[in-house]
Amino acid sequence: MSPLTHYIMAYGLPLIFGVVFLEQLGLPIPALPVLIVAGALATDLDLSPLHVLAVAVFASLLADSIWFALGRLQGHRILKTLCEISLSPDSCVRQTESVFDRWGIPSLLVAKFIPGFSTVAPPLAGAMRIGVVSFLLYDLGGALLWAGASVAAGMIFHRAIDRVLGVLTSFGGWALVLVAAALTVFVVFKAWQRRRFYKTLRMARVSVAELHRMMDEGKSPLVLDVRTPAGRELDPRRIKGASVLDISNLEAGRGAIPRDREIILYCT
Amino acid sequence: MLMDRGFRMVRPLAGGLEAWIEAGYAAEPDPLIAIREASIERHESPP
Repeated sequence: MSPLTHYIMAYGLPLIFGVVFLEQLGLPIPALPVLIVAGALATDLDLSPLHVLAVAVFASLLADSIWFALGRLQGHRILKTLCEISLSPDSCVRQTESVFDRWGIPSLLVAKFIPGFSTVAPPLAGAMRIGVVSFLLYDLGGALLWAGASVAAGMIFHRAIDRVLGVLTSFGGWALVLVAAALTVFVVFKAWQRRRFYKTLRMARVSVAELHRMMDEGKSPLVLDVRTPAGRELDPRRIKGASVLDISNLEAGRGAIPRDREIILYCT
Repeated sequence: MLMDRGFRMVRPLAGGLEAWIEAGYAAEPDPLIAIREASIERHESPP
């Protein structure tokens, strides 16, 4: 018996609740394999797939509601904090806002299938003052789709999963070491990538004092507000004299950008 | 993305809008949002 099977057998529904809840809060815990294995075990052993689904959906809804409430209380600031924790903070806020801009509240239905978007979408919905009932309905739909698809996949492919678990069991403790090593390599690589990106960015960035001085001296750089419409909606102020540039529709706007002036971009 | 399209003098603002406002420099309301809010207020105000 593999360690994962053993833990699911021994602790059952409380384990599923804990794993899903913590993952949806943003901790790097893999809830998906747990749900798939639970689905496979539900076919082979005495574990009701409906109970697994109900517990997973409840845990997910609870964690998302906490983030939604924080989004309502803290506004855009909580999104920035959350993205700071993520391994790709630089694209996190923009990507999340872009998805929300494009799909609106129905994006919650697919949020859990998009890496990085899952944890960020509920606080963004809160910050954008989406109604509580709408949020709960769409989030419930999203949780049902995500947990339902995982459990169903486990039930459909239970024979193949049993074989994989059998192979992992034959590795014994080494299976865990291998998985841990792969995870460590991934996290170290992302951290190195992030550090290198920040180093490049630090060299190229202009400080607010420097931009102010440039404006005072009449150097008149072209200041472009590249926030998404959702970002501008959340904070409707902009730097005096700045123009709005829609990055998602850059081809349409680039003709109006002079090539002989220095360009300063800013977001939130 | 601008640099990919041939714009050479492009720099991001460190700290973004938040740092600009925190430093006390001038900011103005987004005209489109300001117009929309003003029209909402007009609709909501009693006759």
